Amino acid sequence: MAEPLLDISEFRMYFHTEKGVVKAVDGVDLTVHEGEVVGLVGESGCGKSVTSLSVMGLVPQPPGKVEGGSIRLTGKDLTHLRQREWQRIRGNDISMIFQEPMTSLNPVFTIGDQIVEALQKHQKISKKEAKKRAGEALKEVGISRKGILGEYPHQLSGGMRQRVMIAMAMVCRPKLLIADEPTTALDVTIQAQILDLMRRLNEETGTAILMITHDLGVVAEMCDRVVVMYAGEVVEKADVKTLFQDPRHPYTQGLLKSIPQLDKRFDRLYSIPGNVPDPRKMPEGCRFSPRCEFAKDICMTQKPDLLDLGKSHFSRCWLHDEKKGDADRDPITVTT
Amino acid sequence: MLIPVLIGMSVITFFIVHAIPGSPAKALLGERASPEALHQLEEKMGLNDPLYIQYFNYIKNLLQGDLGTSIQTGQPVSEEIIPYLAATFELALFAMVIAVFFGVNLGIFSAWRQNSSVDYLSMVIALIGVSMPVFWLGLMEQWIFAQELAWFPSSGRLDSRLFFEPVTHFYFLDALIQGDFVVLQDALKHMVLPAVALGTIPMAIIARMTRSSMLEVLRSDYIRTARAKGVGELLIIYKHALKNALIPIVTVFGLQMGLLLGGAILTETIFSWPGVGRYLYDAIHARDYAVVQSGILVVATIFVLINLIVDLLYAWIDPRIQYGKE
Ligand SMILES: Nc1ncnc2c1ncn2[C@@H]1O[C@H](COP(=O)(O)OP(=O)(O)OP(=O)(O)O)[C@@H](O)[C@H]1O
Ligand code: SF4
Ligand SMILES: [Mg+2]
Repeated sequence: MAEPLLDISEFRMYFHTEKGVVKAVDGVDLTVHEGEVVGLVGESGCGKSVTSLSVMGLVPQPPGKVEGGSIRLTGKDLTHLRQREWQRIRGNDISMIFQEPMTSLNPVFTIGDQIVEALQKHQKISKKEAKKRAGEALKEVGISRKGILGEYPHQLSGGMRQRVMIAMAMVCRPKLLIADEPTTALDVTIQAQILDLMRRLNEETGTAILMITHDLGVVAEMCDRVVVMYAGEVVEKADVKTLFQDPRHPYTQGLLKSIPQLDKRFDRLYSIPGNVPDPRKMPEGCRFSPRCEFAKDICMTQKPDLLDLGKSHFSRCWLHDEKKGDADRDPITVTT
Repeated sequence: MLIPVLIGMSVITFFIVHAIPGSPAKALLGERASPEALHQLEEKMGLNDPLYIQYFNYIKNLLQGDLGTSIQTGQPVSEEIIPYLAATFELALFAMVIAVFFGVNLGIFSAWRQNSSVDYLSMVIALIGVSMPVFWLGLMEQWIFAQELAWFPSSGRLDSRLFFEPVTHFYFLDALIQGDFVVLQDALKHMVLPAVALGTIPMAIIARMTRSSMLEVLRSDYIRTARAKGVGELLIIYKHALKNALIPIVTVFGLQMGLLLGGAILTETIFSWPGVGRYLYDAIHARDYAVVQSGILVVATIFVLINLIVDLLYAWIDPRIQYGKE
């Protein structure tokens, strides 16, 4: 296989706070190939945003500190770049859009100015040309109303603002777009439109997308491959079909069981028992063990590795280990 | 808005001034003037008319642009006040520039390096600045920089030995127009101490406001968006963050400029600055009604104008504010 566009390997980002060390990201392996849409899922606080902000170099350091591993963009390690170099990459090679469209645009500058700024930062073009390109970028995301370039963010709805954010992120044709829960704050119908738009842009421009979400429905609709995170670690990754049909990690199975299903609407909705561990006091051994119905002695003391199950399917669980784990008790596959 | 405020101001100043005990005729003629002479003069000045008649006469003249005549010099106040007004303006302008420039930058720097030793140091300076009375600072400056070190002159606007024919009465402007750099330099030397004394408190207050406002703005989502676009740190701070942070700073600025006018009067007294403060001070002693009334009215008008400018600034900074389009 060709060299991946983005290659995060054994990456660790800790926060050194007054109350202790928060191991927000503690060993994340993840790749995104050119043109691919990869989903990053997990419960709130598992480190999805910190992972994606690390790729942009936007984690405040301090309190954050890179404690190991690497993030490579087409082979080049980003973890120790200087500000100047970061500024050349951000918005140009990698762009990012965020969860809160209402507050993500600067209220005192016009839409046009904000897109033009992104363009002129990275390309030597005239203001006039940049304005024209900004208008085209907005058309691309489905905003063609006249005078939009001169409007201010408060004149637009949330869905429109997210479109503007996407136009701004895409205007320099980045190789990778990171979308951190881009639809969470939007109405359901608008959500679907935004997802459609992103998928279309991915197909038309070839920009790869790293899609962060806690919504498996979004993953099913959008992604080629999925990475599941739990408590700062990657616990399972596979292509979308495999993950939905043959989830191997007990956490992933729990996540899938908790998706509401139309044909079973009279059942009580399943939810994984227990709570996400306190990031300052991670459980020893497998971090999911306090909540896992299959937990064994070894799970409490030793940490399982991310095991290769073949066909690019990986899972971090003792159950898959023939020698140490008990293969017979490999949980039954849930089919959806 | 402007008109009712000014009418109100004119009523208040008129009656306050007339409530000051003592008669202007007496002040003019001296304690030992004969009662007949006093009476004659009071009659001539209209001081024996009922108050409301005096007030209407005053307003009538005012509307014709006549601010009255000084009873001390016999000159029209509208002409006489100009050099004093220019002197005060020049002083206030320098103080304001000092306050805004250093205040905003100190605040930005503190916010940018939050909790660093530089941050603590500048906030301690700001705290000292806020708690220092103008007159005390002025006197300390005079003592250290004028008397002990003799770096700057201790009083006046210009060395009296310099020959200088003011046109606009803004000395800096005049000196520049006439290309007189000796005067320019001397005027600058005279300006430093009073302007610093007057500008320190507003500077400190603006610095603190800027810091807290910037800290909040720098945490906001759109700053993260700007960083994600690749915008450099300097532009992030001075373009993206500052324009947003300015909104509360402008409020403070407006309030401080009002106080600055008050402070100007104290500063003028300490540094023998020939401004409106001194003009009014002398007029009050002489019971020079016309001067006191008109002088206060002029200052009040300026105050109102400053507030108007502040409102316009808001609209310019924040597109969400639109006047008349509620
Ligand atoms: N600046 C910071 N200082 C200290 N701790 C932080 C900081 N930023 C994030 N964290 C911690 O890192 C952990 C991971 O946070 P992160 O925002 O990545 O979660 P997430 O998976 O994106 O959750 P959500 O779905 O709620 O967005 C959390 O425990 C959070 O408290
Ligand atoms: S390692 Fe053990 S505790 Fe962890 S998920 Fe697997 S079975 Fe459960
Ligand atoms: Mg998040």
